[in-house]
Amino acid sequence: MRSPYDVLGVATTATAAEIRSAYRRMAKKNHPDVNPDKPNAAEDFAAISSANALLSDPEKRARFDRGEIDASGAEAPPQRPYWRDFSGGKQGASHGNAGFQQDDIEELLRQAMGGNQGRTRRPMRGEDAKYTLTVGFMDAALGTVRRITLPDGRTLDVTIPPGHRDGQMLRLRGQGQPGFGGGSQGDALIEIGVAPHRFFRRDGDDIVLDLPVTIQEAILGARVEVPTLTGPVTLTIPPRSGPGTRLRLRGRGIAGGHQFVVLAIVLPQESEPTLEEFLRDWKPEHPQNPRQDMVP
Amino acid sequence: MMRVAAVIALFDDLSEAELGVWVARQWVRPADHGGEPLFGEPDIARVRLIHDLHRAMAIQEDTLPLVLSLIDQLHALRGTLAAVTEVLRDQPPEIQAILREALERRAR
Repeated sequence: MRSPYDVLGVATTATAAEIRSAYRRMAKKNHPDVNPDKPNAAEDFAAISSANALLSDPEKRARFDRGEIDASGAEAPPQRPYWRDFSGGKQGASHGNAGFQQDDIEELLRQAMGGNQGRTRRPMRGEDAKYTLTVGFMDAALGTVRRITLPDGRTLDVTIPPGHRDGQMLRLRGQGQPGFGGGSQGDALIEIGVAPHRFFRRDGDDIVLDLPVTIQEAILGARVEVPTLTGPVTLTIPPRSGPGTRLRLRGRGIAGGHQFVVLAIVLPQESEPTLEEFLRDWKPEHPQNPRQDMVP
Repeated sequence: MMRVAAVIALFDDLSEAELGVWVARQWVRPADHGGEPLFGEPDIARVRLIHDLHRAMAIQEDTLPLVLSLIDQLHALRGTLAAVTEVLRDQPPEIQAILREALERRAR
């Protein structure tokens, strides 16, 4: 799949007006009904239409530029019949056609004249090569370089930028299959998966961590050590922090994102007679019914 | 066979009125079914062609008949040429040789 910029022959910096005018120029040149003898015209025209559909939509174009979708991210236009498929028939005759069957005229003439001028081979761009790769959570968050070995024995250093998301595609230009007849090399498309972490989760550029705390830490407050991407830091838990409390460690996420620590209170595993005794006799100063809003 | 409503549903931006104009100008000639136009596959291919010319290639309405007529002439000529080459191919080799030589002489 060629890049839509290559298909329309525009620079990646082209303005919307440049893209529109390139699309018009290419459509005029390649429309199958204007090129009835060109077998590839329908394919080329479909590629041009789908490149235009991708690049004329600012949102899709931006996503393509960021590598979030590849050139096939634009929906391929469905196969459709062209006028040239019918112009030889009865219908075509009504539009001034002599009504003969279609055929590839070039081929017919060559056969009729016994000619041997071989069809010149059009340069074709090489196929894109697809690979998948899974990296660890920390590698994806902080960025890393991975060396992969291609089927033909070449090795390729793949630089994974910090903040890589699960399933995101990397495109390495010119690292795919070789082209034919002077065509350029295809690209290598690498889909990079991210393995889950034991306790970190990702929310965009933010990191979320569920932090178990004891009942004392939750009620009395505490200073505890918590892991972050770049090593442990000390976090202050304010007194009376309930379960689900979200505490923010500013700037400890990816590229300016934060780390959020969500508290989970762990009750004593064993029997604690003193605590149970105390709770039995405890008369709260501010009695409350936590279910007062749950009127059936 | 499709009715007008089904045909315009194939496009994002084609109104019944515009399609009606195309039919009235005979750019596309659907079958007439008791006063209601019915579009066969060739008619729909033709509507798509007109749509491509008008929208994608921005060919203006006053120029469209000229472009359509040139395309129709091109297709008609291809048909004629196909018939001629087919007849040529069915001729005995000596006649083909004479014709080939005459064609090559002309080409020079």
